Amino acid sequence: MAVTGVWSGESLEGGQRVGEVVEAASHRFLAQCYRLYCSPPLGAFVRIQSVRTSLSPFVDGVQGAVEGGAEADTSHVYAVVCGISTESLDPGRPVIARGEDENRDEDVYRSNPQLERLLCTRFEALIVGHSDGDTCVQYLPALPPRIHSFVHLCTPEEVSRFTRSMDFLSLLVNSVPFGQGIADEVVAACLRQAGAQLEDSGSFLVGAGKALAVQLADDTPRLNSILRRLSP
Amino acid sequence: MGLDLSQTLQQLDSLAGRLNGSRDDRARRLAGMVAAMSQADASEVRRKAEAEYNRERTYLCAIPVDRFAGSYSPRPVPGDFCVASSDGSHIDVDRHIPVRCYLINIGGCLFTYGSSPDAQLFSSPKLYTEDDELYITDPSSASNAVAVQGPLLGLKRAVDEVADLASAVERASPGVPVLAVVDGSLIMWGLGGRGYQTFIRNKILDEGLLPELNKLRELGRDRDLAVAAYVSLTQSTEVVNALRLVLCPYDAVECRQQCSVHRSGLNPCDIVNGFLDRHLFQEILGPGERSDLYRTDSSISRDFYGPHRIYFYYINTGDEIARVEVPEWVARDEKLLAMSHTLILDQCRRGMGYPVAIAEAHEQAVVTGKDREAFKQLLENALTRQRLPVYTSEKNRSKEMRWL
Repeated sequence: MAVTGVWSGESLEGGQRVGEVVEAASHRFLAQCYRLYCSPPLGAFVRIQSVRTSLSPFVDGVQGAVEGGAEADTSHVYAVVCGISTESLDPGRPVIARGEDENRDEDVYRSNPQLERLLCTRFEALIVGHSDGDTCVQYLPALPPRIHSFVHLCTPEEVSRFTRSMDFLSLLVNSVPFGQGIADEVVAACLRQAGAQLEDSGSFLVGAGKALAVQLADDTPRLNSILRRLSP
Repeated sequence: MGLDLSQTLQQLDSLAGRLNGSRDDRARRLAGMVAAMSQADASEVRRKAEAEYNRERTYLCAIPVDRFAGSYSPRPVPGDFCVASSDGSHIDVDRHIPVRCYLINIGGCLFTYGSSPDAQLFSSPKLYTEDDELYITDPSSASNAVAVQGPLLGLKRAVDEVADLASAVERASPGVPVLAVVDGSLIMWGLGGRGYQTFIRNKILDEGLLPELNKLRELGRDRDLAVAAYVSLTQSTEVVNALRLVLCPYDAVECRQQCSVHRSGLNPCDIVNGFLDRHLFQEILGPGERSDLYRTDSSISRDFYGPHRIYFYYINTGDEIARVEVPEWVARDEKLLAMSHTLILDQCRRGMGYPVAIAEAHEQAVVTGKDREAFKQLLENALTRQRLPVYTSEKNRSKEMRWL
């Protein structure tokens, strides 16, 4: 199933490479999109193939984990898009209004084709789990992704496999990336996005609702706020 | 303690007061210049400017090609077209760093407008460290070598900019008209006079700029290609000097004698003193219009550029009067000349008063102060890795430390 990119209207296919990590921490990363406005949407699951090399020898505190070659150590990091921004690529060059004489906002880009190169879309993603071989776990990996790692949009199969467990919701609910209100928006968007890609969307959302009820047992208003956002 | 701004401010106030006092006089003289220009016979100006006795005059004089004071409106912007631009920046040879080298960074862009808009931005830094790059040697005397640094490095960079401009044009969509525009002048003023020996001029022009201009002209055989240079806030006085020639009542010998003191205010031509070409064309050109075409009588262009001899016109972009220089094969082609006018104006409109392609080429080329520091550090690191000595001058160290 294709996911529509933000604003551009271009379809992003599951498995498609959508960007590259430009900032990384244990719990989050920032990725730059290859094309302006071609970001995976808020709440989408994305995946990074993480290959351990001699640049990261201390995996799980054990030196020498690189021995045995990169092939054997291929793993994936899973994350949920929690924010998207578009701005000047060069922080020293502010964006100015250019469309006073244009009829449509698209015409501004047609008249100024360099904007496609000088603006850039970035998205931030919260890490919600990782896999090592066939084992998929919903807690943070030992090391953050490397800068310039490629970020792919997850396929429906990957979303289905990852969301068999709802433990990742605790990472999202407690992430509070830009304030609690935004965290709730991200949780709801994530569940809507995942539900739309699954065959049995209803069962999935019911399961997710139950998991949220446990997470937010002492905060009913917040729980209701999220549940209200789950309707398409 | 550095500059005492309070003292400087008093001097600036005095300057501003003096300028204000002369405002009426300037307006009166400028009106007189415009009237004289509109009445002047272009063929007479041309005859006087090209006269042998005028070769030794003390000022440079524009030679009108057709009319002297005409103005022309732009043509409609074509549906599909490209604009290419290139610019350069460099890190000069620095005796305070341990290796003799220089770096040239050429940046540029190719914009496609119309039905398939696109933008390509590029930059390519190159470090020069070999002897044959660091020095230009006289082919007739190996002991006569001149170091490539300072103004000479600037000339080499200008050649590289034109070379990259040609590369950018090669990448443009086939058949689409292209404006290839650079910042500054196409005239290598620095090579004029007696500043450089002949072998330097040959190296920069015959083995550098002119082959690249030839390449651009060849690229123009398959498409409409207008090559131009854009000079913002030009300080040129060539047309004003042509007007000085019109106003001069003396014969040749007296003219040479009088012109040596032409700032005296006593001669009829002194009405033009203190004015630049852009002051004159601010009065003559309406927004969007260009002036007549003139040929520069710069000796470097006249004697050494061959088929690429430089012509120029002025353009009122709406924000300023800019000078546009074109090689002869653009100047002599009415279609290319009009295209350069139309597309430069269009570039200024898109760039809020300045050609957007030149601005972006500059952004790609610029080497900032931080870049220069980083370059120095990387150079030192590379030397250290090879266990080579790293040193700097005590003067430089003193400036960096600034201790009490």
